[in-house]
Amino acid sequence: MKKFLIIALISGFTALSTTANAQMCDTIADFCGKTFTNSYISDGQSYRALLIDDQTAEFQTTFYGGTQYRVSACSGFEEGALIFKLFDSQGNLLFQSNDFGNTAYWDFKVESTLECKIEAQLDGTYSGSGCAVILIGFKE
Amino acid sequence: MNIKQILPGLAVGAVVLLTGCPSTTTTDAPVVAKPVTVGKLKQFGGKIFSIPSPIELSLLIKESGLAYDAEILNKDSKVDQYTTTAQKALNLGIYGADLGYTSIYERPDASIKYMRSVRKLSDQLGISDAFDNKTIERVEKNIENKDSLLVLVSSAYRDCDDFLKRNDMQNIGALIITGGWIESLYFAVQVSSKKPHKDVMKRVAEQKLALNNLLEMLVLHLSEPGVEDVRNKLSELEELYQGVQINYTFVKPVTDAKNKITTIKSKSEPVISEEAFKAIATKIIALRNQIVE
Repeated sequence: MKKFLIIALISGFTALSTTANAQMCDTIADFCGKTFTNSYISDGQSYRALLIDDQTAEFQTTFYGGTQYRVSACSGFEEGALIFKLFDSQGNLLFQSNDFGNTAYWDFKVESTLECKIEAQLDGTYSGSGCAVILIGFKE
Repeated sequence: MNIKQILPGLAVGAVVLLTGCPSTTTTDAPVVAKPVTVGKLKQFGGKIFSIPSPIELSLLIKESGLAYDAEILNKDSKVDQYTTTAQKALNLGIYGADLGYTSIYERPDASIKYMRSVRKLSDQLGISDAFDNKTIERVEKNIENKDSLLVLVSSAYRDCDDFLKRNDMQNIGALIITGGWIESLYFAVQVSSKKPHKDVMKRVAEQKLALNNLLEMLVLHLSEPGVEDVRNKLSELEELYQGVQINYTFVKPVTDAKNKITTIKSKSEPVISEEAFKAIATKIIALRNQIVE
């Protein structure tokens, strides 16, 4: 009976924690979206990952020539909890947010279309949630 | 996971427990579906690929001076003829791209019609949370304001993407994104066939990169109805895209820290023959027409 109770409690807390993480990620995504002013249009997608310690999350995207993009990166409700980096398809580093105080957003003016990779990692010095959210918007 | 990460979860969980279940389904499922971890590398949302917004291509079409053409849009009256989940999801993407196109060209009457089609399909797919009455009201209120409309529509599609990921419905999300991508490409090849424009044709060639991502995304959902069929058709398109070569040269970017902006100066140039362009255009038109019929 005791064993059953412990298992039930652990399962309950795991489910609650998952639900809570979902809610927290939603709130972080909303918070992150605030870095988009009306001049930036969302690409219609939301990129999320639950990160632990020094794990790195990544995804590929295409930036079109002649367009200005905004990349927003959040993991919590204070600026700087998430470090993000941008690489081209050859692995050349184009930008890293930790060069600029872990800025929560940065704009990229793209002269020529390129396939790139965005990497994100928690900054251990912040009490982030573990939920990494990246949003991409473009300027009309 | 360290205690800092667990504590907020437990705290919110306790609040949920004390206040009863959330009223919507949006909080019932894990936020990140099936994360894939390889060593210290993790991919966003399990394995998510970013596909450019259909609105970007429509904006380029307008900026290129090409006139509004209602004939290239899917008829809103067809909305009731889509019966399977795959048809509904693909056409939700198509109507979303149509809504973006009419918004960019400031055609409020048409935008309202497409918004209704979008709403109807999202209701039928059980994802109406992203296109709820509040969103519809805001869209209708801003129907004359192109800039606000584009922001609202794109945000609604992002909410939709969030909802699908939370509720383990990524297969539907993949088909919606595919529908939107195909429709925007259809606009580009249709307007180019009537009035060839260098920038628009170049952008069609550059879709080789997005197509690779799209195919990889669809592969994750092959067991879901309708996905394999679309993937196979897009694989045929991929073969035609083998005729496109993209030459890339890295150039050091320039950063303006004060204005928080980096100019990416690398150069890329797609090389495509007229013959290859025509073959791609023909395939896109056929693929899109199969979806909307």
